[in-house]
Amino acid sequence: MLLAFLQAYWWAPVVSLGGLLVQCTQPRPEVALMLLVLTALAWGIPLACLWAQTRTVLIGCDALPGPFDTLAPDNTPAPPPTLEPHPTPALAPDVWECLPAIRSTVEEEVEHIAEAVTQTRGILRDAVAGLHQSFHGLYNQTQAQHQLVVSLMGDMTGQTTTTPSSHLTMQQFTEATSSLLQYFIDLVVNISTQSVETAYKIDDMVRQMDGIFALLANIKTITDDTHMLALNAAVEAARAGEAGRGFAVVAAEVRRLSQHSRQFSERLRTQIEELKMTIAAVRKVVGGVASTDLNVSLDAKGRVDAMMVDIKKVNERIAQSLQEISTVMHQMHTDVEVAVRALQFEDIISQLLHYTEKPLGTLRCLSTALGEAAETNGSTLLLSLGTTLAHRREEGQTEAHKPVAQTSMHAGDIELF
Amino acid sequence: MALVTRTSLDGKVVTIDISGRFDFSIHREFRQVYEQDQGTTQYLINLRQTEYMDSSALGMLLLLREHAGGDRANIKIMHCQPEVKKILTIANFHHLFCLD
Repeated sequence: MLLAFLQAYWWAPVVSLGGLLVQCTQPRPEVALMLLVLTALAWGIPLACLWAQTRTVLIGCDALPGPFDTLAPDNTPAPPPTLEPHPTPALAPDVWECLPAIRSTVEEEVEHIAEAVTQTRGILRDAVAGLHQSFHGLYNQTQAQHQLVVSLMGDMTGQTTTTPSSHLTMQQFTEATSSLLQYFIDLVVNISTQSVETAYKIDDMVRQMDGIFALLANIKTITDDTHMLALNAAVEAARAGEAGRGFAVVAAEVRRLSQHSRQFSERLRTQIEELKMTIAAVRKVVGGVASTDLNVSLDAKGRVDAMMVDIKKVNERIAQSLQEISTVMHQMHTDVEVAVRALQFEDIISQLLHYTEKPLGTLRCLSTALGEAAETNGSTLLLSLGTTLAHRREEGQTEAHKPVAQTSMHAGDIELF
Repeated sequence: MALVTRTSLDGKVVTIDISGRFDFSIHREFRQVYEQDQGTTQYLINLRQTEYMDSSALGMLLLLREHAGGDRANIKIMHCQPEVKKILTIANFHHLFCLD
């Protein structure tokens, strides 16, 4: 750096040395004073220029754009600016060689980005369409399921009018069973009543037969007396001799008749005895019919009544469950609505991705310009590039800063299509 | 004795106490209570000691009711044990008799 300085302001040390020589050869105070002034001037001017240069360099460093900083392969700084700026500053040759590489890199990467963006949009669109379909399908299926459950429960509790008449609900079945049981109990009581009445009638019959026995006893007495009478008559007839012969025959006939009578009443008695035994057997049978143990019926009726209570409970549970299912269905509806609304993110993201095309276009423009500049080696093109980019940036800023203002998914109404 | 009858002083109220099994075996005694019409206006059937009742007992009671005038009859069945009461209830006797 010092060498360059000396190269530029060579006359300053020469003047000072010359002055020193003159002073040594001609030691006069006036000359010495003049030489001092001259030396001061000679060193003062370069120092001032150096000072001005440093200031300019410092200001120039702030204004320099960033990209070109790293591209300078050599460490030599730009030459210090002169008092009149050059209209088109030249770039180092190494920087020119880089331009094609820059151009191709930018072009390639821009294409990669564009491809990725397109792919993203395509995948997003397909995925969201699939999700839409899925959610709508899910909602329809749950609707159908709900209908099925409602109709099934309606059938079970007999509340629907579409139930065919041959199908009984549990409740109807239990009621029918209960009334059937009651019918049979009443039947049993009825049969028992009639059987007891029959038993009473049999008692009456037996009493009447005892009356017949009493009468039979009378007959026996009468026949015994008749028999005795006939014997007496025969004895008297024998004592009467020839005159009583007719009487003896009559007496013998009477005796024979009384014997018949006795046999006859004997047979009557036997018959009635047998009748009595038969009637006793009948009474036993009737007794059996009259006595039915009702405990079994009691158990059955009790169980049917308990079943009715259970069915009532089941019906209540069904009604409650239907309520709960309704609530669940509403909740599901709400959830599906939320999901569909959330899917609207696709629109927003699609827009956002679409807006990457502008910046990518700008980059493509930049790479083309760089390429052209590299080919023609003209720095004027680079300058015009700077203007073009500035113009494009201005254009970009007149539009909304962010094309899509929405930052969260909660804003906005939902559209179910 | 399975069946004991008591009559009130004026002869209008007859009480029948039944102990043990109220079934077909006492049907004759039961009938004898009311067979002779003695001007009874009220019958009280005391089942405190009754352990068991079958359908013939129900038949006997119904025949007594018929004898006493059917719907005009004044018959009270008292002090039933729970099992006995259940049987009387499933036979709907609470509609025909005064159950205690």
